[in-house]
Amino acid sequence: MKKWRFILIVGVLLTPVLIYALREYNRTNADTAELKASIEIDALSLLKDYETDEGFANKEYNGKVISVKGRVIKIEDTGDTKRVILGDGISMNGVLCEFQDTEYEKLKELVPTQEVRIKGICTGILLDVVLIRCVIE
Amino acid sequence: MKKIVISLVVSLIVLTSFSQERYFTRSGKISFYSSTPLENIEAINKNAVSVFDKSTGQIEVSTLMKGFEFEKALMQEHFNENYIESDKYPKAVFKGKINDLSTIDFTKSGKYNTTVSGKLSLHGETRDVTAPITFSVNQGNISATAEFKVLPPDFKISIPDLVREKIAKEIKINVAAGYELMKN
Repeated sequence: MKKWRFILIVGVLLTPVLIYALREYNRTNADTAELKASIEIDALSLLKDYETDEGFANKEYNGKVISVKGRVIKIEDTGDTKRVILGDGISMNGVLCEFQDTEYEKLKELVPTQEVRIKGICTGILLDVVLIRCVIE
Repeated sequence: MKKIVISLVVSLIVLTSFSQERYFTRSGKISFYSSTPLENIEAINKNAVSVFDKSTGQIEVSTLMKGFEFEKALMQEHFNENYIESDKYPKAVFKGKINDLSTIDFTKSGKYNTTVSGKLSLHGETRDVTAPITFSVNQGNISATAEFKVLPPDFKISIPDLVREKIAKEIKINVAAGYELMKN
């Protein structure tokens, strides 16, 4: 009897731990629309920060949810992803925003030169500053 | 005056021809795959930058490590924090050259198989690598696919004993780039 009681207590205690572990293991990336931006900045200032001191900007922005305001320079459909480039239209570089597929319908309403605010996860700079899993705010 | 005009025209011709030789993309795809009996680990980054010079065969590919997306968030976090240390090493860069460039006719549509050799810098380590690469030419449009195989210990990527059996010893990295002409 004591043995069964012990098994029951251990089972009751372990079940939430196992459920948590299983949920954590299968957790997918969060919908960016549900995440709060930790930084709000305009696209040209973000680009300038990276161009001025990439090491500092990496520490400041990489991996963070940021909200960027800027002018749409280009809207791209690469076949398996849709992106928008924000910038000044003169420089070759800008802020490249790759969108979550939940935003694809909203992207149809965007036009070049339009001012827009986009939220996404900053991953660093190559030619452009790159934001992934973006949503339109 | 005549000399200045001639030198300007020559410079313009040189610049124009040079620009016509260089191609680039900012939407290169890099994926890696590791197959194990327990689970397959797969991630993709769709924002790689690549520059290719068809006159010299020089090719460069850069990618941001935080841009790799996994199906499972926990795997992505472990990849960035424990294995690749993306805060410390935010980029991976390959700089190389096409071998047997003369076998590729960029004016003729078709598929051309060759190899590329160069240096891959990842996780603060740089190693020589050679990989098969296929160029596809379709009515002047150029694209390329390549497959690299890397061993994590070569790049000082340490894998804890607990999960070592879950991760294949050799990681297969696929690169795909559709190029556009670089405009000056």
